[in-house]
Amino acid sequence: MRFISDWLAAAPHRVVVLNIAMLVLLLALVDSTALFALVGASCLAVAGLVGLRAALRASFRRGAGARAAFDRVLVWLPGAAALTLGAVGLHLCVTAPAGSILHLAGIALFGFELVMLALPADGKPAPAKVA
Amino acid sequence: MDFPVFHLDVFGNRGLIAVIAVLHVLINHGLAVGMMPLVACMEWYGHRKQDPRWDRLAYRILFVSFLVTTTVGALTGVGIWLSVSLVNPYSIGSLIRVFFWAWFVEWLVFITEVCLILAYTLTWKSWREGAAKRRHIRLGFALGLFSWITMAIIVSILGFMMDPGNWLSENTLLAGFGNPVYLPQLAFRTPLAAAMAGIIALFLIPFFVKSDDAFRNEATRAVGLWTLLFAPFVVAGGYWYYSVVPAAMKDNLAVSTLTLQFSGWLDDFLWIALATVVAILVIVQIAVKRPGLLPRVATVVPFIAILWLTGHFERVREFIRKPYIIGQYMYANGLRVEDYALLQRDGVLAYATYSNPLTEAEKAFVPGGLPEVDRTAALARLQKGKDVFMDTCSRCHTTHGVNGVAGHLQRMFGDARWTPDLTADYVANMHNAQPYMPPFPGNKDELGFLAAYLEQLQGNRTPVPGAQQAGVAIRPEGESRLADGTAPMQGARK
Repeated sequence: MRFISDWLAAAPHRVVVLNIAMLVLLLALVDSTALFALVGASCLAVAGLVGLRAALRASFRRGAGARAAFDRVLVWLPGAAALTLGAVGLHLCVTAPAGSILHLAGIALFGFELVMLALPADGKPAPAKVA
Repeated sequence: MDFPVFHLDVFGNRGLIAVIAVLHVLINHGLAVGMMPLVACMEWYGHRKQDPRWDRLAYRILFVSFLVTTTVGALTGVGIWLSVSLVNPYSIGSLIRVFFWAWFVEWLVFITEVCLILAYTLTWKSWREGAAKRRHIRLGFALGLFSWITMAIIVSILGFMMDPGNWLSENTLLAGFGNPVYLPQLAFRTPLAAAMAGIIALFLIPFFVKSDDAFRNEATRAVGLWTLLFAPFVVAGGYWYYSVVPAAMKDNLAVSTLTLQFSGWLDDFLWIALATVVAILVIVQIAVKRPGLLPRVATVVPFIAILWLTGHFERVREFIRKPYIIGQYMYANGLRVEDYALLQRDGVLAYATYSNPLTEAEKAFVPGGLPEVDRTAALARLQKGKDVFMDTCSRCHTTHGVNGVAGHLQRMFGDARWTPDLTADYVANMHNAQPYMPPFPGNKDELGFLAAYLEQLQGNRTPVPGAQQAGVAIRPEGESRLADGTAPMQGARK
């Protein structure tokens, strides 16, 4: 048990991944399309709103100019992509026949995208080195 | 039929073009059209941040692109012209006539692109500071623009080959250039090239930035972001492109994707392709969000995947327009649609200048005990059959090699004897059963000659040499045409 807790503590993202994996596994095992749709959509909505708030705050902090535009894209695009693909995954989970390859792929995609939404991005860019 | 028939009987003529053209497209899209703007952006970003690490990385990626585009890229570019001119001179001749000025401009743009890439690469280390650096960055974006223009011109010609649109009635360059497939295809290929460049750069970064350098994560994230930015446009452009592909061509999708033998696996293939796209997106997302978690080996997956997907797309694009090589204008055998009535009346051999001499293995099919007169007649009949095969089938088919007619006949008729009656009936109606096949262009006699030639393929597996190996003989009809000056090759012979 101590080994597991040490392993989880060593890298904070492992806890997030494990939590989401357990949630998705549970939803898959319950085998209720309505429940999967409800909980899944709620998760995406919450993660999306949290991401939106963080992105808005980050956007207001940045200045003008092309470099700031790059930074804004860096803030907005990953979340938007994860939200879109997460919705596609959820759609497959709900519409594809249970147990089919599409259904399993949908579960995997939904879980992965939820992880992408929930994980904080890596830290700030490394400082420049003088040549 | 005015040119000696170049033929590769094992690998197939189409295979030759496919290998050269696909390699060229991968290099053009991934390392030129998409990579040059990406490298210029990296240089610009590094300059704005005053971070020399971006400059170093951009230069190293540019150097790889420079080496590959100016060697393999240039060779395969010329190779396309050479191989297409050998395999189907009629189609390339038509395209040159229709797109003469477009190709002329393309040549000028290409020369400019070559000058720009030389200048951009060679001045990198000398134009380092202040105004010179800004000028150098502009040079990079100009190079990116000219790389894109070369593609934008060629894409029009590729679209024309799928659907010439109003050109069929108007016969003007403008009508041909503005064919219905042009803009959708350009809208697909432009972001595809950009995304492809991002994936190749992701693959290259670990070679140029050490794993313990925090800059690797920063570069991986930025390049991943570039790739992710273009991904939705690839999907939207792809959808638009697919929506303008003529309906008759969409019927060929299964065969063009997986060949006739495996066409039943289309659904499985499409799911695999979709899963591959998702795998690329997943890895790129990790690269953006948590580059530190992305192992170096993971960048190989999108690299291989994008090369495979783009290469396969090119294969499908080439095949899906069958039975035409230029939509509704010229069949894949190089014969114009409007010439068919004449050819089916007079026969193709009446207009064939050259003959492809029978090999000893083919002659051996004629029974040995025949009287000399009968043997001569049988050989003449077989010779005509071979000439019909070489003039009307061999642009796409080999005898026993890749896409060999023997394989198709074996699949249809098994070990039953391929009698002329059996195969002639099939060849006469094959375009109805298989819409990607052009109708047989010759007359009834020639159908019989061809069927007799196909019969001997059942027992003769010796490859058939093309004109480049066996040479040619001039047919009597060709001799007279050469004499009265109606054969275009006459000038070349003198």
